[in-house]
Amino acid sequence: MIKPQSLTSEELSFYRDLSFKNFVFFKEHFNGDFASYKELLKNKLKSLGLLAIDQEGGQVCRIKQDLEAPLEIVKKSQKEGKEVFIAWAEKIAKTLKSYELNLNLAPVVDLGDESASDFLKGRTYGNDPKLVTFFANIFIEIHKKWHINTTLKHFPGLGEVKVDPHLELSLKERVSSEDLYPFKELAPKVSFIMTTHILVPEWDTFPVTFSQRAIKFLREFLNYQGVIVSDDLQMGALARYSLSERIIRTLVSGHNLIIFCGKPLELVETLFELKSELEKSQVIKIRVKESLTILEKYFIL
Amino acid sequence: MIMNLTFQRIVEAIKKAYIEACTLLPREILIEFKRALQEEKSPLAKRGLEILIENQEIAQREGLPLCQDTGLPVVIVRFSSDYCLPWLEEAINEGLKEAVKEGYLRASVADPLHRINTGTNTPAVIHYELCKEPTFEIWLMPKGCGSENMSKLLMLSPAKGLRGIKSFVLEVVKEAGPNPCPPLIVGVGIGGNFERSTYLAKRALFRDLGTLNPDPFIAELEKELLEEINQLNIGPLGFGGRTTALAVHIETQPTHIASLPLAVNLQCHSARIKKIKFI
Repeated sequence: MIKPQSLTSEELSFYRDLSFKNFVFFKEHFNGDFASYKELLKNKLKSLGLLAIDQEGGQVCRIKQDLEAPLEIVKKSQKEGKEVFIAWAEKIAKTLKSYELNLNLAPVVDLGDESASDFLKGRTYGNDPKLVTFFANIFIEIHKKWHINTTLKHFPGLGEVKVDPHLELSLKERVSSEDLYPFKELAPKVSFIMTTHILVPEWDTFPVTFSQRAIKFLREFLNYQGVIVSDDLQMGALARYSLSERIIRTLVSGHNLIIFCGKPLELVETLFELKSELEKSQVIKIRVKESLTILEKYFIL
Repeated sequence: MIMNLTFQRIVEAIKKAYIEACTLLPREILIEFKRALQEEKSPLAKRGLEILIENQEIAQREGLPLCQDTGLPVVIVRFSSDYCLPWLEEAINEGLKEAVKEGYLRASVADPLHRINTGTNTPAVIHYELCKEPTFEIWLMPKGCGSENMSKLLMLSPAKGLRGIKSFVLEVVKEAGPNPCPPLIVGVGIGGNFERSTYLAKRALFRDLGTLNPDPFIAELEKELLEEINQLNIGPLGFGGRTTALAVHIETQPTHIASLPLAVNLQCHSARIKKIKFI
């Protein structure tokens, strides 16, 4: 996470030299004058690419907004009609637009209702995959109208996962067709899918974030052509791997973008450490080329 | 539709498939390794399986081949009459050549007499299957020769019957011992004629792991043979144990009244198969 205020010129020159241009912003960034902060980034870096936040509604809102939680609004819409949901989604999309952001790291299409684990409670759209898909589709369409990209998360579905990936790596014994339904249906409509740090033993010995098999499944079985983005590599679930290991494994698995919410200088240092390996490894070269091609397709380089 | 099947598309698909087949062990095999690891009692067998699991993890992380032998590519093209592509073999071989170069795969194919390496792992062995429904699929198996060399064909006397069949399959696996890199997949072709039975055995290896022959009689024979092979105590990598084979797949075809061709084609634990479905 880049510092919300007082970026030093040294930091900015690092970002410029490493061509950092895609950023995820948090609450802290919106405490001050965001427009001039963004202007500073724009002026000091060569160009800006993706400007993303998690604006799911309810608790997870990086820009302060009085919004019902997704689960709540879905229930309300079922009673009062989908217009309620449309108005709610419109508020979110407009907010992003007003801050000139271009990517919302939402909707959450994991299956779950009130009984979902604490870390997911309220953030989901429900237990019925068709219902989740219906409302997530509206969310996506409304964002499209405002020219904001959306992200399906968290592949392959956090439904029934008990442990928060922010804390520990947890296991998902089985990925059901219900879990996959929203991803399969909505994959052609979005340009971004975010994976999560869980272990699916029937797929791989690695967590999904590091698993070529999981990415292959997403590409081949769900026929997904867009950008695959990892969740934050600083989460507790991956703590047993060093940062350099996390970066390499995520790249090699076939992810096209990596989210890193730790200290930027730690990332810069690690990237310098990795320089020779990144340059030498044939497989990383192939993956980077693939990713650049995909990103280019979406005009977000 | 045929317009989509361009030369370059097939080259790219084959290239990707060949590199991926060599570096990413099929999921079904990994699941079998993990299941076997739970069931094996002997520490050596367990260690062998752990090494195989670790090996595929390293291959995945580094993008390196699972095994130094990246095989002689065996290809089955399944197509319907609407999709006849006169340049297909050329495209397949081109894709393989590019994969060898880009994926740093070992050049493993040579002239049989002069033993001069072609340097490209081509020409592939290509078979064709004509389908009735609109189909265009390319199946690729980089077949290592540790296991291929241990495979055998026998023109059995029909009088030897089922017992003769079983004893020959067991004999082939037993004689092969650790050489074909167990745990194996055993492909058995019964019937047809001299050359057809060997194709049936190879075709059996392309079947999805864990599926049985739809004929219940043959399915039963597959189960019995697997059970008996796993009592041979060859085990993972040949260090003893219960997991000598992961599966036995049998394919059959009617044969001459005076004949009982029987082919056994062994597949090593790096069971690298890619099935590309274009249509």
